[in-house]
Amino acid sequence: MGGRSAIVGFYPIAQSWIFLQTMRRMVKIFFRESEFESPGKITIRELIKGLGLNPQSVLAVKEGKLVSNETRLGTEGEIKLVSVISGG
Amino acid sequence: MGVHRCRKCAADSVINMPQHKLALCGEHFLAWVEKSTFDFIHKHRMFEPEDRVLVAVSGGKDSLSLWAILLKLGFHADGLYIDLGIDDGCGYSKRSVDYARKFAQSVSPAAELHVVDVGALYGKTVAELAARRAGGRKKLCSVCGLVKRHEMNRAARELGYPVLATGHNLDDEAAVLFGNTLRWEVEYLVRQAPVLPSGEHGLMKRVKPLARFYERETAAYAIVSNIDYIEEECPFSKGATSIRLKESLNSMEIGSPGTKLNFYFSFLRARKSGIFPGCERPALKACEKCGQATAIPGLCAFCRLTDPEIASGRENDGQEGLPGLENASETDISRL
Ligand code: SF4
Ligand SMILES: [Zn+2]
Ligand SMILES: [Zn+2]
Repeated sequence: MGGRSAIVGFYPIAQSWIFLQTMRRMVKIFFRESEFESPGKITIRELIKGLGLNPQSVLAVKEGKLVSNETRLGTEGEIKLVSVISGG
Repeated sequence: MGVHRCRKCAADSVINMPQHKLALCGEHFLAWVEKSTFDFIHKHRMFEPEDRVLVAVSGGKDSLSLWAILLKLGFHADGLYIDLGIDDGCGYSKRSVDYARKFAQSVSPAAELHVVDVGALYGKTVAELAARRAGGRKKLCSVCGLVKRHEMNRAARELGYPVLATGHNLDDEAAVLFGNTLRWEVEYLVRQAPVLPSGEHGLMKRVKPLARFYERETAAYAIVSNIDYIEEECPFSKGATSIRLKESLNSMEIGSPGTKLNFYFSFLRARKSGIFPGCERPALKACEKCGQATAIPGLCAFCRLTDPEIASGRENDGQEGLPGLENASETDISRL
């Protein structure tokens, strides 16, 4: 029984370790006041479309630099999406 | 699809413009925008190298990019910020002027910023002026447009700038065109152009040197050249018709790149070839109070709006505006 509970006890730790690893390997997306996460490995265009936005209406900025919609995301880092539509 | 390479130098591109079949790196993108602006100014005879140009700046991406581009091209361009007193709990005007000031400091002493404070001058902010009449946000933007046009013109006249430049981009122009076409507003269509000529009674020439660029290009210019601009929109722009029109145009653009460009430039060609005959600008008169050009006898729409006696009474919907400039309806996105 003791051995089993040790294994059972181990699972949550293992799970949270794996969870933390995946957490770390996420791309953080900032858009207006919202924050999202993406596992990455997709292009910025795919990311923008996946968020239901029009690629004409937003630009992507990575580490302060403009990046084109064809850029493929890695598995971590931060991307800021800037809305370009203004009106009034 | 791999990253598009810059057409000029084969580095990674930062922007791809399918409507021009052109992808460029940051450096070549800036050079392309500057050269294209210069050609557009020249082609439409907007102003000459010796002219002093007053750039209407709002603290946003378009107007600050325009100011930066004109200075980079060697023009004598100063800025004009009109403080409309827009607050709505977020201090919008106060924060916007900070961006304009910050940019002005970075280009001083080559250029200076003039600030017109509407509240201090006329005792009422734009929202307070608009609050006197029914109509909600739509009315507010209409009043705001009227105030901006009047004050821009007055500032250019009094400060001795023969030309006023605004940061309107192609999306702004296409949205106005789309809105006016949907309602067949011929009298507004006939006056829509990248150059609005000067007229009698001190109506100053107004030009839109960025009217050939998509909005994402003016934003990209600001980002690539590290111009710090206000990203938030005016709190009163939420739900504006102009935004819906832009979104519709952008949906079409995705399916067929170049839709917006074609829409606007084929309109300009058609207009030039005379598809709107007999829509002359009405003869201008001088306003009895401020002396600025107006199509109506007596006081101009702005003076009727700001006159405390008239304002406490009935009338004036603030729609009249300065002839020769676009209408002050909701689709008028002539924000600075
Ligand atoms: S949205 Fe534009 S026109 Fe309307 S109040 Fe704001 S700045 Fe003025
Ligand atoms: Zn290049
Ligand atoms: Zn007047």
